[in-house]
Amino acid sequence: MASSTNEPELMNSLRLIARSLVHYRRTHFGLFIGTALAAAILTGALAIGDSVNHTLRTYALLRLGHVQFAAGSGERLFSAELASAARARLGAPVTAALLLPGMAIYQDPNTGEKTQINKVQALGVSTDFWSYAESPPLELGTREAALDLRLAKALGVKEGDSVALRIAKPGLLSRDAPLSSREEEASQRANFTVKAIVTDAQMGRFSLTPSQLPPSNFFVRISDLQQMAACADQANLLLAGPGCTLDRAQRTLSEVWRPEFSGLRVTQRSGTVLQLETNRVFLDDATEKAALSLPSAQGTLTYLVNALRNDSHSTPYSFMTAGGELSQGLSDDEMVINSWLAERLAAHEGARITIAYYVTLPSNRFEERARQFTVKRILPMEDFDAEKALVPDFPGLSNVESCKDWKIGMPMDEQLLKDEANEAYWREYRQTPKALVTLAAGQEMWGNRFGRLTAVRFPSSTMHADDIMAGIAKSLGPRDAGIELRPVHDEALSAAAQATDLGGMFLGMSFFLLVSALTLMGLLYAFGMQQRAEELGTLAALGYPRGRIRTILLCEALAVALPGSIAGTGLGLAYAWALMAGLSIYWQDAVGRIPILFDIQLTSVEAGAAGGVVCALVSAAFTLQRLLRHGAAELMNADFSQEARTRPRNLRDLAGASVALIGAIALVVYAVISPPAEIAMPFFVSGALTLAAGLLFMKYLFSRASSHRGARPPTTLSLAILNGTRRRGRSLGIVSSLAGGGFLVLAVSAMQSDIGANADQRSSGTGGFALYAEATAPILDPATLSTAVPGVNAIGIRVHDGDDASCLNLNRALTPRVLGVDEQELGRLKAFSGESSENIWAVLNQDLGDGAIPALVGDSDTAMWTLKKKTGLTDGDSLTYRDDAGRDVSVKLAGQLPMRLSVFQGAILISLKNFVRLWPSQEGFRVFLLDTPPNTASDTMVALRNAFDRHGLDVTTTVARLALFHAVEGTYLSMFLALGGVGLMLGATATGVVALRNIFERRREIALLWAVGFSPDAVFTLLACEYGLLLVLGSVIGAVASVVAMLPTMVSSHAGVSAMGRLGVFALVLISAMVCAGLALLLGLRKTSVSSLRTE
Amino acid sequence: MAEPLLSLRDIVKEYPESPRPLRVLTRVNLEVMPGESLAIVGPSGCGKSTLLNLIGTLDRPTSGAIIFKGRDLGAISENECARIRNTEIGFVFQMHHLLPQCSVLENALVPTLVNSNSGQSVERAQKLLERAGLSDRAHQLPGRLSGGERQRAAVVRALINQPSLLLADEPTGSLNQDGAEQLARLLLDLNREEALTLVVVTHSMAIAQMMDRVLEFRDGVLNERTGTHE
Repeated sequence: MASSTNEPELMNSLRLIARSLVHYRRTHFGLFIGTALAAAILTGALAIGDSVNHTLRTYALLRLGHVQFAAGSGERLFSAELASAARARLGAPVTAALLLPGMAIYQDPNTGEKTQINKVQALGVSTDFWSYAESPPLELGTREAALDLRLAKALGVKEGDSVALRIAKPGLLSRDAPLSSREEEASQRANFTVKAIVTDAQMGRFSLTPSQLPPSNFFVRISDLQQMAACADQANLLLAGPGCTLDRAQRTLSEVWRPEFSGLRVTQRSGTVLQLETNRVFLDDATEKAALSLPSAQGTLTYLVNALRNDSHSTPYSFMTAGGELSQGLSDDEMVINSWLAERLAAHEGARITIAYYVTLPSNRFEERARQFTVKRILPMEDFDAEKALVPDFPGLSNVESCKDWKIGMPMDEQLLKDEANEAYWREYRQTPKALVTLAAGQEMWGNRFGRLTAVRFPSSTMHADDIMAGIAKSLGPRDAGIELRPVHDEALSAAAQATDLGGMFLGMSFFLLVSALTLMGLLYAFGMQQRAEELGTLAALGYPRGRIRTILLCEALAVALPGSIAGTGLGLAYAWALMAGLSIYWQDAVGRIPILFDIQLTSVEAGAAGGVVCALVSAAFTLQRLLRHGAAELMNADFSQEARTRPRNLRDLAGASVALIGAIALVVYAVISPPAEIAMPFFVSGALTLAAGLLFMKYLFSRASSHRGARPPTTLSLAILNGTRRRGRSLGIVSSLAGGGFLVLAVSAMQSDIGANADQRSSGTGGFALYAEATAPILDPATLSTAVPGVNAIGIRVHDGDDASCLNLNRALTPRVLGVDEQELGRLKAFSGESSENIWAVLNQDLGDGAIPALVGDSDTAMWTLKKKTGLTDGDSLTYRDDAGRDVSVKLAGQLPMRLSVFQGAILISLKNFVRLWPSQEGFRVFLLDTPPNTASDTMVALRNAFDRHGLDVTTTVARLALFHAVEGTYLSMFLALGGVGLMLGATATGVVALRNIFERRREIALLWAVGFSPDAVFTLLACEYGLLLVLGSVIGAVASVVAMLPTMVSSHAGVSAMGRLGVFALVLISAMVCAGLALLLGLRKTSVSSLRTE
Repeated sequence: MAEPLLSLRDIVKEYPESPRPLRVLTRVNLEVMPGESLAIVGPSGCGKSTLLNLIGTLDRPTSGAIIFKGRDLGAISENECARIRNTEIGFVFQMHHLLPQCSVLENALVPTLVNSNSGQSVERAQKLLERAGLSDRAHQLPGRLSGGERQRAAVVRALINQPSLLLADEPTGSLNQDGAEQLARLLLDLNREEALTLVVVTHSMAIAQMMDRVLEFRDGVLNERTGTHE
């Protein structure tokens, strides 16, 4: 190592560092390896984060192709002409599409086996649509379809096969509306020939929902789908861009918008009156307001009442009109009737006529109500001619020959439909109203969530049809029809960017691995520094200030850490590869079972490398800080085989242990008495307090044992205990490493609750329901499920589609799907109530005062992890939704279901009443909670699927649904266990290193034992007892802490604990630590001999 | 009359022990004049090295004052102590404590790094090495030197910054007789040539008697030993 030159050389700090680096290269190797490990762990975890982000971003872009903006109006259709008008003016791509929920069915011609895939996106598209893909446009002919790759695979079809599509047919008027037609099938089926199977690059993944999970897409010509849905030239999806800004595109839509696009029309049904009508029967609030603001506008509401009665006389099912010319001069309790009715009811002027009529409840049930009116005038039938002409067309009512052919939503008595007098009236006068009331009275009775007018009349003498439309167009834009472009491209990227932070999660899960690596590095560095303590002391004695010594040594550490971290980043890529392999083979549930595309950003490499260096420097600084607390003379005479002289603090340790233990017990008692929704805090805090108590108590015992010597002759055990107390810091380090690691492995693994336990309880996350069903096409009346399968009791839930905020979706959910629930029924059943004795559902009926809608989050995991939102009546966060009228509505997260996991995970819940108010056009129910007779769940599932295959009803057990979500949590725990286990193994290696170092420091003592006649076996036994005792103590403390932390969960009736199966992992770690320590002892003892005494 | 270079006034040193502190030095008083050579002798564990560490600012007294060049060393900061150790006081220990990774010349220059003036000190280091008979060993690592050579290298290192006081703690303790004598002569020569004040702790009466004064430690108390310097 001598300098090769005889020339005087300038000595400087860099030279000193360089000399030290070379001379102490072996001791620096530990720091190098530790830095490399830390950098590798950090880089690997960050690479996983980058890869997941890259994957989600890639899928987001594939999902949308070149589409920049999109407007989906759901069940409110608009004219596809809007797209061509906008395209012409905008000079950028704009295309209309029809997107309907559907089912794809394939029957194998050879085997006859039928495969049905539900929840398919039936997409009616024009050729323009394919220009959003990178690939050449696809020309679909009549009855030709393109299927996405996954759907084709699931169905088992290839190009040229014939496959059926069944769609949920959209009604112009929601089938929930009282006068809506039921004359046609709610679903329609047609056969298509598979022309192409499209890949993701060919828009096969097209979806507006931010999720990494691919949809099942069934593309057909838009005209074919319009024909199936009986909505010629209608669309419900508008796609725009690139080549324009959002503002310009939306402005263009407003400029080209015509009220006709949303189904409004002006008709001249009588000579003097122009009438504004809609193909949706009821004019919505915005249209009503716009129309009534025009001059001479007069609103009318025509309705079919159940009966008109005068004493014992009555006539069933009669049209009535509220408002209009003939009702002028009436007060709100008066009516005008025609002569036919007067005769039929034997009514005269001044008679009291009772009107019986149905109102629709949010649950889709009908409730009959009655109101009395006084006959003000009786007019001849010819005076009603104009009213007859002005009654709008009601599909299913107006176009039938006989009353008995009426098929509308509200229930009708078959016998009354056959009333001969009424039949005769229908034949002669058709839909002529039998009576008229004021508009106000009519709206009080028949106004509903779909609208309060069926027409607005204008005198043709002063208004022209164009004037009316132009006037309405001034007030009504596309947004009022639910057509507002959203920046879906940016939103998709944003959702992907804010996705579940798997990189952070892996960092967290690699925590033990990192801590173990740092511990190992710290130990090796500390031991290396202790060997150089004499040098440190010399420098101090020569007048080096401590800061200068620290700086020189940190620079030296930096010089080792830099190449270490560079090597570590390379190693990190291998670590990332291993994690990727884990994610694709064992942990698929963590990433929604999608293939992850590898990617790593330069910043991640830099961060990983920098992190490794920082870890090394912090570790080195910590070691130096401890070392440099010693004086120069002490350092020069370095003997670290003995604990440094410190003031004994036995009582303080004992008091600290007591306080920590009391705190842990208090927290456990509190958690048991009033289980908080947030279980993580009491779990970790009580566990940490118990660990602290155990370790402080150990410290107290070590201090006592080292200062109290008994009079009795020493035994192997007592010697082992005494030896353990000599280096209390190291002994406590071993104990705390195993205790901390063991605690987390044991406790976290035991958190894998048995979701099947208590599943039959109403208070659990299943609500006590046996089955959970979800239909592709809405079912109007949940009772039909009970009718179809006797013994089944169904609760229907309305669905407003949105983002999936469950743990299955890695993307950030911005507007989660909303479920409209029957809060009264669920409250009565005390379903999903957890431990709470209060009716948690009552919050949904709270009036929040500011117009906000109260909502419950589906479970606490959704609130905490995926939405990351606060819940509460006062401080809960709010989400903004757009209602059918295009208004922004604030939905306040007033609470959450009080369990970690429920069948409602990923959704938010509002009352049925509020749901139908916000989204009246969303018809029927699509989600069902089902009670079944005992032990019939399997049969019921099959029966329901068969009975409702046209609705694409998927039925599963509620436990299976919970298991689906729970699998993600289980996967995370598996990942944690795997990485934590490796970390603990590394920790066990550290135990071995400590053991080896201790033997090295005590070799003279051991040699002395041999010299006085101890056999090698006896010495090994003594040392094994010493380390075995420490490892067992660590295990016991870790186990006790995990039991204390888990107590609230174990006491809770909602989570079974399955800790036993996981004990193996802990045992493995303990055995590893013992093996490492044992090997270290054998190795250390082999290197020690009696000759060590010669230096004494 | 000249001012003493070093004055120790009622120095007491105790170490914390249970149940009561362990007292090592009991009211030690001493004055050392500039250029004086002084030997401190006494049995093992009597507190000689402790006293030397206190003088060298490696440790602080429990009570009493150490006045060096008119300054109370107990009243100055750690960093100021370090500066004094670096520039005013040289140390030679029983073990050489040379940095094993540095050559003899580099070791000699290590104290100069504190003030980054090694450039100016190379010449002095070479002179001192020549004076110590080590000029041909300047580029050797300490591992290749004999015990005596190492101690002489340590002396060179102690003197590199031209201190006014050299403290030597059992400098010959690990050397054979020849080496010990050679080192003692070197120290005394330097004492004369460099007007260096020398305080040597030693077991060797032969070495002690070569000094101007000999003090004896007994039971924590320092007494002048008379009749030894004939």
